Amino acid sequence: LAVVKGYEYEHAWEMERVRLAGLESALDPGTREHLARLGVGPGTRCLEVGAGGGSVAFWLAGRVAPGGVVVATDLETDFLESAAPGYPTLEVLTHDITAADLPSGFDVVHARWLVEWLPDKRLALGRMVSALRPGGMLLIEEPDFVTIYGSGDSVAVRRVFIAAMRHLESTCPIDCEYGRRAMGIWQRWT
Amino acid sequence: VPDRLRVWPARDGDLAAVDLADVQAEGRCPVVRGGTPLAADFLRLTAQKLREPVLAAGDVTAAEFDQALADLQDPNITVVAPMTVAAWGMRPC
Repeated sequence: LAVVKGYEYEHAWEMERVRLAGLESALDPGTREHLARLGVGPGTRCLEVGAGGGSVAFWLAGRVAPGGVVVATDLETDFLESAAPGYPTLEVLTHDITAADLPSGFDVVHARWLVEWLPDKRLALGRMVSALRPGGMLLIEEPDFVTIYGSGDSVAVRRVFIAAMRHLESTCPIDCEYGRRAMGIWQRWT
Repeated sequence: VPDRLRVWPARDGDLAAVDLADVQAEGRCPVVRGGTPLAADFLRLTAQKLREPVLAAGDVTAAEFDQALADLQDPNITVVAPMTVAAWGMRPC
């Protein structure tokens, strides 16, 4: 399912769910803080774009009950489908944000570690904004690998990640420093 | 090393180009030990998946690559993870 050019992490890889769980363990607490602060609660209509392993979508599905709904999209929905029957407020949608508009009318739209990969980032962000009702809130959380380049104990880790980021940026439209780029703050460190 | 960084919106970023009001952002950067799920599972497997093409590109040696994978599992090593920038704004009414 290489619809996004250069995306290497297909679900068929036997380690992919473990890999995603490692990220979820670190990021989910912060994501939940942000979503709670933006007012997600019973009755909220949420759209989770590129829902991946589903940890955020499942948490949202509990949080918006009763009366709310969570639509979770991805190119590969097997991780989502495997747990979806346990969440009556959750709807899973196979969707390619590079190719089609999203459903609309949501109170909150969220994406995490997604836009960095996409060839036309402004198009994707525009589609997410269009999925909101007027007055609705968009939350994106995007990585910026700048912090791994210059710090930490292991020179090998630094050098390997710099090499890996260079490889990815030479073969696909990823922006490994998109966290700052999305906001317009961008000074190349390498 | 700060474990939490704040950034402010600028005029030419992608989030300024879409129809959003009151955009704000905050970056968080986990600092963890090797062997934690973020280091040993996410970062190690993320790198491992790219081992062949990265070695083919020639910037690092196989020995360096395998040292990095080992360090990400070593609790004596401090790993400064990627920063995640959260940015949010409202669709105008």
